[in-house]
Amino acid sequence: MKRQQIPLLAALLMVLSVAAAAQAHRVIIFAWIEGKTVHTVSKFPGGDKVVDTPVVVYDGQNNRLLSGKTDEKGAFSFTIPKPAPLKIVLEAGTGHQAEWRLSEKEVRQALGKSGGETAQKPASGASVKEKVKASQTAAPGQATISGERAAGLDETQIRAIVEESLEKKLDKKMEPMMRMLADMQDPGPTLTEIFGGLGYILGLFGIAAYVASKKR
Amino acid sequence: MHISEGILSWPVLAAGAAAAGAGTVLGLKKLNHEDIPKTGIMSAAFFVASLIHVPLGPSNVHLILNGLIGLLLGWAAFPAILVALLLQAIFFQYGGLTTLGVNTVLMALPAVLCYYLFHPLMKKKPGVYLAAGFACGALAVFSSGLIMGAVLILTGKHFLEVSALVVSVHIPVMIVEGIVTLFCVGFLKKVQPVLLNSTEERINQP
Repeated sequence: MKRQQIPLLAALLMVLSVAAAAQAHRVIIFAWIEGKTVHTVSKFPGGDKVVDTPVVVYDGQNNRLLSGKTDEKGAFSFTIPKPAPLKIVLEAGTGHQAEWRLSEKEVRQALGKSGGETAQKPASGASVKEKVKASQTAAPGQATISGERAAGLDETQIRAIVEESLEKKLDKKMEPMMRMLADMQDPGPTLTEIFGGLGYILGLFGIAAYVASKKR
Repeated sequence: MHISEGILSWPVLAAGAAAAGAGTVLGLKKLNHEDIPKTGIMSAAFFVASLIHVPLGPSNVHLILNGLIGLLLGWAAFPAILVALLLQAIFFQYGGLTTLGVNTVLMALPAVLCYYLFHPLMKKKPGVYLAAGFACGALAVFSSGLIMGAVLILTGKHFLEVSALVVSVHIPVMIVEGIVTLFCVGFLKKVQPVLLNSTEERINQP
């Protein structure tokens, strides 16, 4: 009887492998800000990506701001819709859902650094912009910005330029690290946790057995 | 098969917790002290079963084993599954503490149903009890899927859409679970048939 069942089981599994079933106990979403863009990565514990699944973004008052779907890498990106705390919800269906919150501070900071540039522009006029351009074109290849060009700018302007380019550079440099962090979020249950749980179960039922034996 | 936190409304959560509590109390009352080790072992099996992944195409499924647990434990499936789910929620963040009640009912109620449907068949001929084993595993998952559909509908999603999705997602699980339960029943019948008898039968037996 059993020998006959084994090929049957193998055949069944092969037939079933055609069916695409998204079944898991849990989904995870991880989000971070880069410039004015929010990047998200969604996955199952253990690292499989959550593909083609709706992601909905809410503000602090639970107003739906925007929505989209994850791509084949589980990623979904959007530009920050407004300066408010963002709640990013992954709706994986069949009872599965995950969320990631970005605080108002984080969002404002991200907007602030790009907003700061627009705030400065009208104040100091077009000349700053030109000077920025000039210094940016001059900068690559040369170790330092030439003295005469730098002398044309006052200290706060230089600081603004340096800060801005630093932030851009940092964002670029940080990107692979953020992706790595996203990948490292929840590697799935570890052996310690599994055996810890088993230990708890045995202990609990040991207590139950003890109580029962006392009653008798 | 675990419902995450933040999906269900609080009346549904409260009803689930109440039902799970009632089931657990009943299960503990009916629990004979000789069956405590068996209950503990099945609880541990349930705890680990959802970590065993069966690859299915691009995704994978995990075993639930609630049919087998119901067949062996009857009403004691409630405390067994509650404990295992609680530890899964704490250690692995599967499901969650607020959804613990709903998730327990989701998996333990079909287990009890399977006990009443299939346990009497275990004394029959091999062909019958093996078929009953398969049906038990499959039906338990199917009814869990139905309860999940019903619970999700209560939160305001569309009936057909949700039910169809939940059941279709679980069809492969049902078949795999049926096969696993079939082999378990076959194995237990050969090695330890006493486990498949309920306590009353054991007392009545000479």
